[in-house]
Amino acid sequence: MRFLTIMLCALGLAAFDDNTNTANAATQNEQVVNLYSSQQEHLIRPVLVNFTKKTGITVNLTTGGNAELVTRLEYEGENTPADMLLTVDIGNVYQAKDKGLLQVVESEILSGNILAYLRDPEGYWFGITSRARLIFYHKDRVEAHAVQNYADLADDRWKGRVLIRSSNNVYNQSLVASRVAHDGREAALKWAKGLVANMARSPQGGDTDQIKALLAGEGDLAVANSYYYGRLIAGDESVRDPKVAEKIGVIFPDQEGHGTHVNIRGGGVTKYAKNRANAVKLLEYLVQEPAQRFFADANLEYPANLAVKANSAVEAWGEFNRDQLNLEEVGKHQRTAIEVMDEAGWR
Amino acid sequence: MIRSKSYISITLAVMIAAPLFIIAAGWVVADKGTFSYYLSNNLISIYALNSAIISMAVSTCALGIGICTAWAVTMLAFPCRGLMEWLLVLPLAMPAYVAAMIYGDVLQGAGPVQSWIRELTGLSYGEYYFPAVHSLGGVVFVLSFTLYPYVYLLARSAFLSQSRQMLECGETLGLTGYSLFTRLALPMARPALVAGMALVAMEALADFGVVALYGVPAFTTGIYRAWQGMYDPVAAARMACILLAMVLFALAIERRARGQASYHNNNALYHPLPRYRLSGIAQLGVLLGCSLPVLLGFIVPLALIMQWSMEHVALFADTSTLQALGNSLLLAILTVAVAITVGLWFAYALRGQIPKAGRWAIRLATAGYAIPGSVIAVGVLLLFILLQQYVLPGGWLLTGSLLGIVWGCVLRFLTVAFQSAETGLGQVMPQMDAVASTLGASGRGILWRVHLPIMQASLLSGMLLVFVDTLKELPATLLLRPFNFDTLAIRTYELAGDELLHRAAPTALLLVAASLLPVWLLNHKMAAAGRGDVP
Repeated sequence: MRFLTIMLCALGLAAFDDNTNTANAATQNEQVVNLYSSQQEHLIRPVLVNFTKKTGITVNLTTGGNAELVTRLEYEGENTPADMLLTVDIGNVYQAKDKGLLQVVESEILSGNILAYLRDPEGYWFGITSRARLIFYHKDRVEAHAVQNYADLADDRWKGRVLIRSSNNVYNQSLVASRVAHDGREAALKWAKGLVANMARSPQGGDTDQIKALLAGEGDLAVANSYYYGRLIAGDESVRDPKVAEKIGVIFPDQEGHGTHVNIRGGGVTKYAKNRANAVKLLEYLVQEPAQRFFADANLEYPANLAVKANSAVEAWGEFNRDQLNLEEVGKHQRTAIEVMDEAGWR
Repeated sequence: MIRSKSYISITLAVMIAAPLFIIAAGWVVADKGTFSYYLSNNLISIYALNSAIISMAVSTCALGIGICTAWAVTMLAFPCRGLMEWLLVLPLAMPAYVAAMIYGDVLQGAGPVQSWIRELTGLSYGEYYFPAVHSLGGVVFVLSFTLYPYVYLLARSAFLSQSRQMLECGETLGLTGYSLFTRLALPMARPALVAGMALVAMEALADFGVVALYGVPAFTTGIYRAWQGMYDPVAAARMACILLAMVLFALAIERRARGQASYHNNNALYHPLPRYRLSGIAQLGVLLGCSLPVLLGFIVPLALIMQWSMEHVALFADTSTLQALGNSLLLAILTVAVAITVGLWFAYALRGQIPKAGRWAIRLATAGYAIPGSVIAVGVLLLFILLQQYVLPGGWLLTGSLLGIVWGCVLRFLTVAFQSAETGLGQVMPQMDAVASTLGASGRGILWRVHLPIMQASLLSGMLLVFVDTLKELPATLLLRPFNFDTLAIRTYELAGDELLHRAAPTALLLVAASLLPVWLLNHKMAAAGRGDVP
C-alpha cells in the first residue's frame, strides 16, 4: 500500500515538474518544436534561445548519445514527440535515414545555402557544419612535406610513431568507411593493418589527447578532427596551449587525390514530426548567418554555408580540397568499416 | 492472506524486472549478424575475460583496502584516528568516471606529471619507465580506490559490533593481535565483507565510464559498440544477458558460500573495544597507510577539480547549473523513496513463505546493480514504447514524466536497498516477533514499533547509498530523461565527452559536494549502528 502511495506521489511530482519545468508537446496551442540532439547542450542551446526570441517558437531539447537517440526515435515510431533530429557524423545521420526515421524536406533556403556534398541528394538530411579529419606532425621531428596522404599513415617509415584513438570512435569509423568507399574493402583492410602496425601506443583518449601526446613526444604523427586542434590554438583559455601553435603542424591529406575527409554534424526532420513547419524553420535558421557564425566561433568548425566564413584562426590554416564524395556513400560503409578495423586488430 | 501477499510480491518483482525480460527477448528476435560476428571473431571471450579480470581484481583490492583500514580505525590507537575514520568514506562521493578523467589527464604522457619528470631528468618520452594509465591496470587502480568504501563501511560496522566478550574469549584461548584478527574477527565479519565485495564486484562489472575512457575492451564497451557502432540493440541485449548471467552465477556462489549459517549479532552485550597501543613509528605507518586511499580516491582528484573550477567560476552561478543540481536531488530522492519501500517489501517476502518462482523473480528484480545503465535504459525504453502502443497511447509517459528515469534508477539500485533491508531484517531475531505478539502487538505494530527501530540504521545506510549512487548515475539517466531535464552527472559527462575537462569541473565539483552530506550521514549512522547505540 505504502509503495502505491509513494509511486503516486512520484507520479504527481513528475507531473508537477512537467507543468513547471518543461513546456511539453502536449500543450498544443503553444508553438513548439521538439528536438533530439546529440550535440552537447552548450554548443546548441544559445542558438535555440535566439531562435525562440526571433520566432516565438519554444524549443524543447533532449540531448543524448547518437545511437541512443536514433534507437529511441526508432522504437517510438509514430508516437515520437521529436520533430527534429540533430546528430554528429554521417555514420549516425545515415542510420537515421536508413531506418526510415527522417522525411524529405524541400527548401530553397536549405538547398541554396548548404554545399551539395554536405546534404542528402534526396533531401532527407542536411549538414549544418563540417569538420576535417587531419594529420598533425611535430615540427621538430618531421619534415613539413614528409607526409601528404592518409596512405602514408600505413607506410613502414612511421612504424611505432602514429597516434590515433580507438576504433570505437565514429570519426575513425567514418574515415575508414570513406576509404572503403573509394578503394574497396581489401585495400581499406590493408591500410588499416599498416596503420595498426605503425601505432605508437594502443589507442586511448580523445582527439585532443592525440595532439597532446604528439607534443609530449609519444609519437610523431597524430590524427584528429580540425576543431580539436582549433581549440588548442584559439579556443577557450583553459583549453589553449601556446606550445601547440608553436610545435605542431597541420597536414590536409590527399590534396592530390580524393581530397581531405570531411564530415558533418547535421540531421533532418523526423518522419512523424507533429510540428513539421516549425522544425523546417529551425533547420533553416541553423544554416543561416547568425547560427552559422555561432557554430563557427563556438566550436571552430567549418560552416556548411559557404557564404559564412570560418573563424579567422581556422581560416589561417589555409584553403584545402575536400573529399567531394557524397557522405551518403560513407554512411553506407560504416558497418564494413567496423569489421575492417576489428580484423586489423585496431582496438 | 499470506498467499495474496506473496502474489503481490511476485507481481511487483516481475513488474520491476520487466525491462530485463524484454532484454532477454533479444534471444528470440533474429540476430542481424552482429552477434555471430562478435562470436566468430572471438570478441565475446576477450570481453568476458577482461570484465572478469577487472571485477575480480577490483573487488580483491577493495577488500584488502577496506579490511585493513576498517581494522585499523576500530582496533588500533593512532593520532587523528577519529578524523581518518570519517575521511576514509569520502571516495564514495567521487564518481569513478570523474576520477578516471582526472587521472587520465594528469598521468598520460602529455600530462603534468610526466612533463615534470622529463623536465627534471632531461630525458624524452619513452626513455624512462612510467606505467600507462590507459590500461587494465589503470582501470583497476581507479575503480579500487573509488569503490573500496563499500567494503570499508560494512567491515567497520561488523568489527565494531563484535562484542568484547568474544574477543576476550579468543584472547583467553591464546590468540594474540594478528591471529585474533585472522582467526576470529575476520571470519565473524564474513557476511558483511562478502556483501561489500559483491557490491564492488558488480559495480566494477557494470562500469562503462572508466573502461571506455581508458580504452580497455570489456563487456560494457562491447555492448556499447554493438549498439552505437553497429546499430544493433539486439546484439547488445544478448551480450547484456551474458553479463547478467555472470552476475547471477556470482550471487549464487555467494549464497551457497554463506550457506544456512545465520549471523544474529547480539548487541546487548556490547562494550567498547579496547584499542591496541602501538609504538610511535608503527602509529605513523598506520596513519600514512590509512591516508593513502583517501588521498588517491578523493583528495587528489578533488584538488584538481577545484583548481580547474577556478577557471570557470561563472558556471557555478549559471541558472542551468542550479537547475541541474535541483533535478539531480529530485531524482535521487524519488529513487530512494521507491527503492527502499520495494526493497523492504521484498525482504519481508523472502522472510516469509514464498513460492520458488517468487524467490527467483525477486532475485532477478534485485540484480540490476551489475547491469550497465545503458542496457537497463534500453529495456525500460522498450517497455514504455510497448505500454504506449497498447495501454497508454500518446508519447507523454517518457517525454513528459519522470517515471521512466525513476524506473531505470530503481531497477539499477534496488540491489542496494534490498540488501540493506535484508541485513536489517537479519538483525531482528525471530524470537522478538513471538515476544511482541505475546505482548499483544498487531502485525503492523510489530513492524512500526519493533522491526523498523531495529532496522533503522541499516535501512538508512541503504537509502544513503542509493541516494549517492543515483546522483552519480549516468547512462540510464541520459537516455530516459524527459525533455529539458538535465542533471549534474549529465552536464559533467557532456562537457568531458566533448574533451573540455576544465569546463566540466564546476559541475563535477557540485556533484561531489551534493554527495558529501549523505556520505557523512552514512558514515555517522554506520558507526553508530556498529557500536549498537540506540539512535
